[in-house]
Amino acid sequence: MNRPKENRLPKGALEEKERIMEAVIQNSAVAIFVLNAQHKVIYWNTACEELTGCKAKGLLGTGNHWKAFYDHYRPCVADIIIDNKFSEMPKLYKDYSKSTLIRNGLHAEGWHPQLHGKDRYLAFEAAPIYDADGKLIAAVETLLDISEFKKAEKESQENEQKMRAVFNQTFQFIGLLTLEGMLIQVNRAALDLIGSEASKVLGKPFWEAPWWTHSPELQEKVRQAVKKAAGGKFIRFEATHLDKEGVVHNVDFSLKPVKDKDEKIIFLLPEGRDITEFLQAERLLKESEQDLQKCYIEFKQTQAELIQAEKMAALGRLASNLAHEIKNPLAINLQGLEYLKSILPPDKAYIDTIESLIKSNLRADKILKDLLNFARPAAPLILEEVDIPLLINSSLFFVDPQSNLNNVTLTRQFAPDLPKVKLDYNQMQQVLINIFINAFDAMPQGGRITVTASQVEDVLKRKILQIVISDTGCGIKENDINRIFEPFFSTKKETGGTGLGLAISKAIIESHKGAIGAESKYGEGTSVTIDLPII
Amino acid sequence: MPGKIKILLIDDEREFNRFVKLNLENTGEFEVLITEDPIAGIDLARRYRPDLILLDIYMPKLDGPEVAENLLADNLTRDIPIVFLTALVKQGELGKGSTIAGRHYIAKPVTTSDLISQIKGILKR
Repeated sequence: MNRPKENRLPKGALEEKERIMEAVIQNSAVAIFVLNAQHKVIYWNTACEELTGCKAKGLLGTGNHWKAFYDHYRPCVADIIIDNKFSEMPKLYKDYSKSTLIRNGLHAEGWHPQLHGKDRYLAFEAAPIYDADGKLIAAVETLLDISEFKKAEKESQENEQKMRAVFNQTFQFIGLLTLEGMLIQVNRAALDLIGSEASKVLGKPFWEAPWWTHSPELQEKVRQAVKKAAGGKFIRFEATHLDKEGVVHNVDFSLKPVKDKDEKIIFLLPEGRDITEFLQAERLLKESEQDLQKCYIEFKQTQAELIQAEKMAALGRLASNLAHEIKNPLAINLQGLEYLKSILPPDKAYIDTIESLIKSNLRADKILKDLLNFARPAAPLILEEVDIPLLINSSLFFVDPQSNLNNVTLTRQFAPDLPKVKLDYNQMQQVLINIFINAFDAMPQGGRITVTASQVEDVLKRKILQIVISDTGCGIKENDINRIFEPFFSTKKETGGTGLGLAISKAIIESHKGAIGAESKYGEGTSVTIDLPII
Repeated sequence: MPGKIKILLIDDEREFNRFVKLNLENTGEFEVLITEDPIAGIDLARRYRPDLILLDIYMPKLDGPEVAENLLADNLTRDIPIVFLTALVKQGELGKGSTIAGRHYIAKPVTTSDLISQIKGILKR
């Protein structure tokens, strides 16, 4: 049997070694105490005195070492080792383990409130001491005050918990990628969106994760973004994600390189902000703006119409008074001229003069009638279902003789299955005749009139009937085109135009809730368009 | 003068009355009495008993419809046809010999030939 070497040392050397050992223990910066097999304190070093505030003097040779740590009796780790009662450990310490440093040693730690004036977190390391025969003769226990380390560790844990809470509670979609684009972290919001679990997406290339798989273009864009971000660039673009229900979300996506303290890129940080509602709000705002603009335009139109209606009412009163005041003298003139005609000798010169005066008289009467007709819009509409080709053809019938005279070609293009429209036949005929006469007058040297009728959609996508009458005549000057529907505006004053035909036509079309407009190129021709609602 | 159509014209336009009378009587078919005074017109109608009365609408003192009311209220004149002459009509509102609510209207100005054909048309009915 190999006996321990020291036992072979001479007695003086042993004593010296014992003194050295005692000095080592005594002067160690680590708090140490030693119990003999009877649990009596045989060493209590200076560091231990400083840590616990209990002097060795009062403890050596006693079993009162526990008083340094507790206010009632309980075994220390060294006591457990001496008694070999490891099963007691769980009752006494929350944190304990077998020592990783010393064979058969034990490690435990815990908070000790107000130990020598301070709350301290102590780590105990206790180990058995055997004699040459392997019999336990003592146990040594070291104490380390690791309060600062523990506090720092606790703070660090709390910080991490806070960070993790933020990471998982935020509405933003956040993850963490390796420089190659592997997903290594992902937050709750991002997972909830796609209804998935971290285990199903972590370790995958980011662009192959479900946020992107609905669009190969986006996948490629993300792959390229990873490359660029790994090279140090900040990437940001608008993207879409499909959620677990297949609903599209608009996302403001960005990818940032994350650097360590040496400015080396270590991770990539993908972030996504759901901007679907923002975009919807933006769109609604734009729509509201447009509505407001529309209201404003309608308001201005209504205002203009009211002003126009006011003017028309005034004109109506004026026209009525004028008609009464002028028609009576006209009636006298006409009767007087007819009387003269009957009594004068049948001389051609007399007759021609009087006929000419009678004609002038009747023309003045016609102007007054037109004025009255315009100023007091027509009697209530007599609406009936009208066959549009028949209406157009019957209106052309009145002006047709002029076409042969003027060398005008007429072309009619009526769409098949034209809808029936409820109109006042006579008033609409008056409108069409007015427009046809204008077309003929614009082509004294001949030309072509084209009449088309078709069903089209207006700007509000409502189906309407559209009649277009185009001529190849002299056209209307740009300055005049906006005025042709104004009362008393005429480009034919010298040939007897009263300037009321188109104004009356406009009033009639508007009383049918339709619209009339004209386009013209001076020298090339004019096109009049009538839009009528299909009732 | 038997056989001639007797017309009473009540209109405040003296010259109009004069020329209508001349033109109608010129045809040899009419005998025309004229007055500018609507009250005198009612009296003339009672005494003269014309075949037809031409009556202006707008007149001072008494307007056409009031004169007509008086004539219709009187047994002596109630059956005489009345034709209103009016300057206040719209194009298309009155055709030849127009009748609105049982009343006859002729639009001013009117040619003699139109006037005659309308008078004859009404008297035929």
